[in-house]
Amino acid sequence: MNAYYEDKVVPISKIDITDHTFRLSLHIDTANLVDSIQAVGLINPPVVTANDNSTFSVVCGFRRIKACQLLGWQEIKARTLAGDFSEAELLKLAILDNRSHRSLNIIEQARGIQKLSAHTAGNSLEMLSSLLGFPSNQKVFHKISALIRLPEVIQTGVLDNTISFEAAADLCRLSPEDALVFYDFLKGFKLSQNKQKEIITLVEEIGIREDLRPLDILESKEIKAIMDSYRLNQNEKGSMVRACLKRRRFPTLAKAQERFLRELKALKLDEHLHITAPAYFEGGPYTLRMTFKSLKDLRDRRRSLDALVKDPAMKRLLEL
Amino acid sequence: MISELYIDEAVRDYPVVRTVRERLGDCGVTMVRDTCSLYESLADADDPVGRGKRVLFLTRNRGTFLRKCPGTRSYICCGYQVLHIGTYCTMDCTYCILQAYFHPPVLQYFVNQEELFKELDDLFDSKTPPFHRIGTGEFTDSLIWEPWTGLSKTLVPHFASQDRIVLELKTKTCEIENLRGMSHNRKTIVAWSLNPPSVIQNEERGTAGMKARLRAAAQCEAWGYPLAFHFDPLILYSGWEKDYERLVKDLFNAVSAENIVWISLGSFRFMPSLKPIVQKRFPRSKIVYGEFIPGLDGKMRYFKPLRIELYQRMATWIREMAPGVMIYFCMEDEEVWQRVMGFVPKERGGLSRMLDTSAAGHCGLVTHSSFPVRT
Repeated sequence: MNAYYEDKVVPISKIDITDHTFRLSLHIDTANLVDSIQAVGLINPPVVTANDNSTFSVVCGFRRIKACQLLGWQEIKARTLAGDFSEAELLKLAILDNRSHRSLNIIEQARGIQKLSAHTAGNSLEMLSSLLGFPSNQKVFHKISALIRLPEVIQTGVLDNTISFEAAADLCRLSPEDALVFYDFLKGFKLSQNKQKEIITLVEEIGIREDLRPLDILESKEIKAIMDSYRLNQNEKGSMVRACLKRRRFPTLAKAQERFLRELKALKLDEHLHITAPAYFEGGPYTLRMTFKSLKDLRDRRRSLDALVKDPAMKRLLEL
Repeated sequence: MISELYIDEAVRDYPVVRTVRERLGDCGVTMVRDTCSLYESLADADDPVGRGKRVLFLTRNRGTFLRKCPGTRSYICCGYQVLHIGTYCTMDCTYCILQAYFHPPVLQYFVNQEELFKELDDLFDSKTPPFHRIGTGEFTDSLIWEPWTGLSKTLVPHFASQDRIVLELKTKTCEIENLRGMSHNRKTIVAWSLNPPSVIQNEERGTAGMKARLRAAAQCEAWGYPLAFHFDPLILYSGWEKDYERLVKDLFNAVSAENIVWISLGSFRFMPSLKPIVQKRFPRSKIVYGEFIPGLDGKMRYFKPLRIELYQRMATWIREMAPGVMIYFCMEDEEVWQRVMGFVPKERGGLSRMLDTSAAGHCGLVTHSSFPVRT
């Protein structure tokens, strides 16, 4: 595509800024731009295309036009496209214009995929990834393109890191209502990506198994008690919610872990002896760690070990 | 059913190929020169796992036909041998590991059977160890191929011609018609995987119903075949106790305990890669949301106390109906054996030996070597 432009002064009232056909950004943030244009003027004119009804649609420069509008400008110098271009070509122009001075964020990439896919069938993954700037990988592509299904508030949450990209990708497989339930719940915490994903997975799986909606689980008595507690800070609440969900998802395992800790406590081990259970009690070995500094220490440990072998709590611990 | 037939150009003139083409009738046929490109095109399908069940590829087995069952060191293996007749399955069980095992999963039937029988003959002629248990139902269902290939008509008499090795045909179908009137010499064990009707309905699409399986088993018993049953995968769900107890009763009402060579118990386990496949293909299934933990072999298994309880209940119900029947666990550890059965296999010569002994007793195996048969 060779684009030919004509620089024109266009009345801002004739530019249809409600037409978002070529807009990639979720929000038009003009905060810094207004100051910049006020100080040095409009250096780089926006690109517009003429419509049949003598209005113009914006191809590149939504923020610039909005900033000028906020400054009270009546007219703006714009590069008007001359020639017959398909929507797909104009979309590519909009993407390339944006990428000429910055990387697209993940939501812009998702919107780019959606918009291009609507206009041209058979866009290859390689073409889309190179144009929009994401890794050419089928899994990444599916995750990014699915983000567009999320309600805008969650998309915004991805951009401001309220929710991680990976956790948001997990929400894409849910209904918008359920996704919002999770988002509203998670936004109260500052959890890592893995912990956000863990909560989503636990709630989803409990929900499927028990025929419950995510809301039913996240508003259950146990979770509400944690969330309403005045004594806990957000980190503590996050940890307790995860522990509570794990107990519900894996009740027998949780009981076994509790019993192990109870018996371990009953052994009253000093700080020189540590016992670790095999992973998931599946059959691997128990681990005993012992520390000492001298032969006397070692003799003391031996006595402690002899006592440990005879302790009924040790027998109970091994019978878990 | 099969909608596309692909034939490896190199095997186009094999007699089995002609038979399958005739029996499949109107199915579209494509000759394949480049196997890799066929695999690639199948892998690119929207639902490769589902499509692979409708595409049959006739080709040659480039490896050996007789293989060791892919057990792992962490759990006790039964020492079975696999006769690799083909891959994948036309039925569509939620939990089927073959969905994640083959890349891509596709129905393949190996037509170079002269090599298969050559390997069998070599084994028949070998002297050690005395007995072998061989099955075709590891990478596929043993009997789904019957309508197109009639393989059992040659396989069963072949095994009947010797007395050291048993063939186990393991199935969830009722495709037993080819077994009627065969000279089997009790060297073929016909075996069914069993689950309660609710599990069959929810998780075993396209398989025969429980009553139909038991009727087929009774019919095979009437034709003189020894039988085996596999409660595998055992699945935990609300109400499992009632369903499995009923199933055990139904089993022993249908067939004679004395004619059962072995019964295996295996709780549901799966490679982690199966979970997303099940979630995508069977979103209504709850099967992967049990209390699974990573086992010592990397597969997901029910938390051990749950498995032990499941096995204890099953073993009790089976013992009540058939005190003498040989029960074994598929891929469990010594702790499970000890807690459920009260002994570990190595105290009785190992699991292989225990199963060989049962096969010897039920199938009339005799030893021709210095290996004593423990009874």
